[in-house]
This record gives sequence, structure tokens and C-alpha cells, in this order.
Amino acid sequence: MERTPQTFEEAVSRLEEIVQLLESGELPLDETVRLYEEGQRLIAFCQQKLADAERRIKIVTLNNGGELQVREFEGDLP
Amino acid sequence: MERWTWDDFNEPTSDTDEVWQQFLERLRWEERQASEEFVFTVSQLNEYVRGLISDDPVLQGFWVRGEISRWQVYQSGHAYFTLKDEASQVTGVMWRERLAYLQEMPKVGDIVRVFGSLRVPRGSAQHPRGGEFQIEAERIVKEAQTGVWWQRFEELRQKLQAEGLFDEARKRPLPQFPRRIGIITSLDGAALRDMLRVAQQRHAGVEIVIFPSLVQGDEAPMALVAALQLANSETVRQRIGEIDVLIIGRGGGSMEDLWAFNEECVVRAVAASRIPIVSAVGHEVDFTLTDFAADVRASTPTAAAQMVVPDRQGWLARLEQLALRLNQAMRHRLRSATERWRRLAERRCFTDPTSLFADRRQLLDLLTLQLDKAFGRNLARWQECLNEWQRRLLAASPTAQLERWRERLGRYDDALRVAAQKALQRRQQTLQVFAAKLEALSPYAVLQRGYALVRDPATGRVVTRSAHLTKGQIAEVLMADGQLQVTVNEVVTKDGKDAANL
Repeated sequence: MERTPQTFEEAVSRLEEIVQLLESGELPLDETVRLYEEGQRLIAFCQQKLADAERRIKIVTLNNGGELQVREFEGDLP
Repeated sequence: MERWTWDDFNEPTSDTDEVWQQFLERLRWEERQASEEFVFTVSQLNEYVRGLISDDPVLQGFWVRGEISRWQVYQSGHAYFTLKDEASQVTGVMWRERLAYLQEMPKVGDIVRVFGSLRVPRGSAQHPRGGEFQIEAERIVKEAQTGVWWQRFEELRQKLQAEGLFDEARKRPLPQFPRRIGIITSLDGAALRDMLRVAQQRHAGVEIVIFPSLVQGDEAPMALVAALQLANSETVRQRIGEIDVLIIGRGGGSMEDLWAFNEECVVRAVAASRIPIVSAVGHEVDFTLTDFAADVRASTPTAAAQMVVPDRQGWLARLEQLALRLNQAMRHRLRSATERWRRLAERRCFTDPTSLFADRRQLLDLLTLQLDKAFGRNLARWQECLNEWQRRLLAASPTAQLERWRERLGRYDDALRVAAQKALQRRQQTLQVFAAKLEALSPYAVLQRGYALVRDPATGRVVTRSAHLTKGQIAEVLMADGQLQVTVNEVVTKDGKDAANL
């Protein structure tokens, strides 16, 4: 069953599965077309994920009270 | 030896080779004479070697690792030492000025890295010196000690290994595409900078969560354990999200600097990490117990980041490849489907579809007609059809044909009758001839001449011997004009015994 991939890894492994299924060439045409469309959607999904180039760096510590402190990394990269 | 001039060589002679060999031989002899005039003094030889060594760029600045087997500081303040490994040794000197920078005096048994250059010392009249080379050391870095720490390292390594903490089977694979990478290191260290730079270059989309920790000093072990526990904690999972992979490490340093990563509590915490973990402690040459306990050991923090952070370009290329294969597979599938469709289309039912329906259509017409007839709605048309058939039947009437056949039959009939009669006559004639012949042979013809035949009426057989009949038996006597029935009175055979009277 087709479902929306949650992670890039999941999407890529499903994509690989689809490509292998299609390459085996033993599926009915309807199924082939359906898988092809799913594959196209997965590629778009993965490319979107890769295009997401936002820099996210957090620093996580515990304060004296044992509470979680999260702050953004302010340092500049060389 | 005869003197010759260059002119001798200008003219080719039959024995050119021989002359050439002689010439070479003479040259060599002269050279030998000349070289024997130059003789090195010992000092000159050593000086020559000095020059060779001091001109070599490699030997003028290199690191060498070995064990200190002699360490002596003279009153002058200079230190003289010997460095050895399993099979070889080399002497060295560290001048007073350099010695002042040493944090700790090397001791015999220390494994050290020495940076320096090679020199061949000159001797003097009072202190003649052999042609030996020595290291002029600029830095000496202690790498390991045969002392207490090294012993602790070995003991702990063996203990944890026996517990199975370093087993290959415990190693987990790293996720191919982590969304969130945790880093446990010092906020001030070069290691963090290196790792963040790599992450930036490769794939900035990945989220990086830093768990700061001391990495050096007495408090470092507990700080590292706390950071490891925090990274693995449920709180972090809920507040930040799942950390997919952890890197724990620091930049290069001495054995003491890296020691926190050899503490038992740290090694155990690394081994216990729920999250797959990469160790990145120091340089390529540095090994710590944390390296053994981690799922993967990276030689440096930079290498760890390269290992863990997915390469966006690489993934894009891989995606492109997959997209290409997907399209190719689809095209191929469509082509084969088209091909099948074409082959199907070529079949008769499609190229000549009417053929498929011809029979049915005809049947339909017939049924329609019957229907019409049944409802009496199209009598006229039916009549028309009938008329048509009748007309065609008449046109094809066989009367004339029959007449022709009858005529031909009549002719055959006559011929047959004549032939039959002729055959019959011929047979009759033949029969008469045979009958006459048969008559002549017949026993009845003999009877005409007065003979008679005796037959046993019981068997119908002709009796040929008198003994075949007995007295009182009835016999038939066949004559030409009839027959007699007689009784045997007596049987008389020719030899006289029991002769019968008829």
C-alpha cells in the first residue's frame, strides 16, 4: 500500500524497491503506471528534503535545577 | 703504446670496433691515474656526508617515534638521549634552550615523538668524533608511558574486552540519512569547528544538537557521562526529537589530554548508548578505549562528520540515478506493452472485424426473417424470396439432363444385352463340349455296355471287394437303365473261403 513517506531514508528505500519492481518488468501495466507515479512523487519528496538547506544548530544543556536548556548556536563558522 | 691522432678515427677502417675499444681502454686508464691523485681525509669524508644530510629537506625537519632508552642532562644543560625501537636505535641531543620549553622531562621507557633534524657532529683535536649522525631535537612529545596510566589502560582494556564490551557483534550500522546528529564535545575546541564546517559543506539541512562537555581534566569523565546520558534521555527525545546518531570526541592532544576517554565510566556510557555512536578522539594515531566501545571509530572529528553527515551532492546524484532508472523501466514497460498491443492489433479479428460478425449477422438475418414470418408481418417479402428460389430452381431444372442420361442409358442397355447373349452362347458351347467329354468318362456310360455297380446303401459307397459285404446284407446294384436291390446269400472270395452268392 502506498503511504506518504515520513523520512528521506524511507522514501529512498521505497524508491529503490519501486525501481527494482519496475525493472523486473513482470507487473501488469496498471500496476506499473501506479508505481511509476509513486516513484515520481518520492523523487520530488526527496529532492525537496535535500533542498531544505536551513542551518539548524542547537545547544542542549541542563541547568542547575536539572531542567533542559535549549539555545541556538550563535558562533560563526570559519 | 703507439701514438695515434684523431685522424685515425676519421677514416673508416675494417677494424673500427677494435680501435674504438682500445681508445676507451686508454681513457679509463687515464681517469684512474687522475682519481688516485685525490684522496679524502677522514674529516673531508665526514664533511662530505654532512653536506649530503644537511642538503636533504626531509632530514631537516621530521617526526620520529621511539622509546627513550637513555636520557642524560649534562651540566651544560644540554640533554643527550637515545631513541630505540625493536631493532634499531639512534642518538640525539636537545639543547638547553629547547629543553626549557619541555613541560615534562622524558624518562627512560617513555614512548615519545621527537621533532628535529639530522646532523653529523664535527669533532675536535681533543674530542675526535666518528662519522655518526644524531637527531637535533626541537620538540619531544610524550605519547604513552610505561607507567601507571599505560598499565591502567591495558588492564581496563582487557577487562572490558572480556566483558564483551568491544565485540564486533555489538556494533550497529550508522543511519544513512540522519535527520538529527548529536555532538558531544567542548564548545571551545577546534573539533566542533571542524565538524560544523563539514556539516555545512555536505548537508546543512541536517539538524545538529550539541551537548557541551568538558573533554579534558579531572571533571571531564563525569561531564562526558552526563552528556551521553542527556543525549540518550527521554526528555531530549520529547523536547528536541530523536537523535539519530551521536559523535563523541575532541581534537588531538597528549595521552593525558585524551585520558578522559579512557576512563571506565566514559567507556561504559559509550557502550551503553542507545543511539549509534561514533568516536572521534584526537588524531589518526591516537587510540582510546572509547574508540573500542563506539559503534564506529573515526580517525578525526572531521572524518567523523564526513562519515555521519550525508553528502547532499552524493544523494542528489543517487536520486538522479534512481529517477533515470525509473523512467527507463517505465519506457521499457510501455514499449513492450505497445509491442504486444501492436501484435494483437495485427490479428485478423482486428484487421478484419467484419469476419468476426459475418456468421452472426447472417444468423441474425435469418432469425429476423423467421420472426417476421412468425408474426406474418412480412409475407410478401417471404413470398418474394420463395419466388426467387423457385425461379432459380427452375432455371437449374435437371429435365434436359435427365433426358440426355436416359438416352445414354438406352444405348448402354442394348450393348449390354448383345454382349450378354454372346457370352451366354459361348458358355453353352463350351459346356456342351465338356458334357460330351464327361459323358465318355462317366461310369454310367460303362454301365451302358453291360457292367453293373454294387453300392452299399448304408454308406452310399461303391463296393469294390467281396469281403466288404456279408451274408444277408442288402446291396444296391446299379445298372444302365435302373437299379436292383439285392440280398447277399453268400460271400465267396477268390481264394475260396466264404464265397457269397448274390
